[in-house]
Amino acid sequence: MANRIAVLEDRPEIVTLYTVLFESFGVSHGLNLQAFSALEGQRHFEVVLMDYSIPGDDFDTSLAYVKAHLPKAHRILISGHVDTESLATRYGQDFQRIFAKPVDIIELRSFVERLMNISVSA
Amino acid sequence: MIFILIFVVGSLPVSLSFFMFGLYGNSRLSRAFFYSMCTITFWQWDDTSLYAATSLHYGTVLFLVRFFRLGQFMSIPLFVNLVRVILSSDGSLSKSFSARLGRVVFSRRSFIAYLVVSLILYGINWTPFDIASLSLDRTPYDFFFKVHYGPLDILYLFYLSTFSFVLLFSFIASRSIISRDIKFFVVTINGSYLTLFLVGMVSFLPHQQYIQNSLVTLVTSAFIAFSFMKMYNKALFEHSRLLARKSKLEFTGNMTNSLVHEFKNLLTSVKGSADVLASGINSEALVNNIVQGSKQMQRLVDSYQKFMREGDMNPTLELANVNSLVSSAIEFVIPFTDSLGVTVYFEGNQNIEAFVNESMLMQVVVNLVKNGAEAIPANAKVKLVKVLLSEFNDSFIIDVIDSGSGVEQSKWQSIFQDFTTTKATGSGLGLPFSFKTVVAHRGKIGVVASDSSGTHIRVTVPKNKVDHLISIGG
Repeated sequence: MANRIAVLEDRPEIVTLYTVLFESFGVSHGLNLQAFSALEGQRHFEVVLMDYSIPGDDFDTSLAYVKAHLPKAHRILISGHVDTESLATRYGQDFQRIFAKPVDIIELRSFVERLMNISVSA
Repeated sequence: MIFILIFVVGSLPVSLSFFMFGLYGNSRLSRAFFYSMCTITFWQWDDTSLYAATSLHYGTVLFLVRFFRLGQFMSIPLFVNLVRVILSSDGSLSKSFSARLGRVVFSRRSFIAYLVVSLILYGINWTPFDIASLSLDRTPYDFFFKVHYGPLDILYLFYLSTFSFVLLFSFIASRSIISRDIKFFVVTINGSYLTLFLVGMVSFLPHQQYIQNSLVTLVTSAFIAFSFMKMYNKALFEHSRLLARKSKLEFTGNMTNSLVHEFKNLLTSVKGSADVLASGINSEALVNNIVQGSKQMQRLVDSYQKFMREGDMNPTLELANVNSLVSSAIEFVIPFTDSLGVTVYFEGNQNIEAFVNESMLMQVVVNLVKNGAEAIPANAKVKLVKVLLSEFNDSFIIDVIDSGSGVEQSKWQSIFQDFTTTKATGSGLGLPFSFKTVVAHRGKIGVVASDSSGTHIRVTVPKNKVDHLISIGG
């Protein structure tokens, strides 16, 4: 069965955490946009978790890529940025939800599960 | 030839203020000071014209006398303008009587009012109603033209007498000035103008008056220039101190922001892993996340404390041979670069000696070479870090050029001020430490060029320790 969640995150330990957390859904990841864009058959991903700051990547470019290639996937932004409010103002429309790091992982899981149920019922 | 002496002495105020332009640049205050000093020079050149009786025609002298009287007419508005600029730069918001008086008398409106009256009277000056004619007279040493005034000259005398009130108001207003040096300057120009004014008004009565005029101009110009330089130097010093403090705050702010960002990532991993484990999911990988994340946080705290302790902003500088210093630093880092398969090439200069903190600057070279070596991909065809030592004027330059994958231009500055690392075990403080150390040496560090073929970082440090001389005075 194909993985349902895609993660764009540069920190391997956080990717590990997501992989265990969403084991039942299956997680594919890229540590940067180049690696992420190489993921096979992207259109089946239902949720995309995106980190805001990835060394070497421009966030707007990454977002444009995700919107273009995974148009139906729910997008969640996870940010360690100092000013999360300004991110919410700028990107609020582009994401189902913005989580500030350190993320409440249980809440994140519940939210993703809700999205998945919606996704399944839809 | 007396007129040549008066001309030269009279040129002094404008020459000094012109010199200030070169020294301090074209600021609002420099300009106001220059215009004000021009009036003193013109006033003196007005006298000069009268003493050119044997060298110039009557008509020419009459023209020059009327023309240079511009200095006398404009002295009040331009003095008002100078004090206005000074008061506005002091930023005093006191509600005292002297401060309020200063704001009224030395306002833009007063300046414009005085300017208009001055220009009207200067226009009358060109008619026989003010200066009617000149007649030849003589001192024991030379001939000069004596001025015969017309009926409207009384307006000029009345107008000029208001200068004494302006000087009085300026003196009162100066009491509200906060800065001691600005106050000293205003009091000095007040005293100087008062002296010049009194001496100028009684000119030509005794025949030796021109000597007295010249002497007073000479002395007051020197006083005014000295107090202006004292005030401006102090202002520049304060300004540079403010910039240094701002830069330090920005540096600390950037460091803190980037450290917070790093901790947020580590906390996400550690806390998230703990929460998942607590929810009943067993995972060896998550236990490892907690162990490694905690260790990394500990390492960061230790490194940061070390950075704050070692990054002394007032290091002891001693004369050292920079070539030996760089060479020793490279020897120290060679085992590390060898382990990465990177060659270090050093091109030195035996003769460079400078006042530096040897151990701190050595660490800078170690950091830069290590950083350069780490930036080279493992599969790179060329694995080389070049270190070049040279000198330029009073500084020595260390260039570190690696064959790595380069740094985005948008990060050329931030890599020295942000806590940044892509290495799981790195402290991320190597470049900020280098930045802090080089700044403490009054030097500069920055990326000169960077692309996919490598990065060129340049460190420029002054060889002397002249700021220590300044700090003795302060």
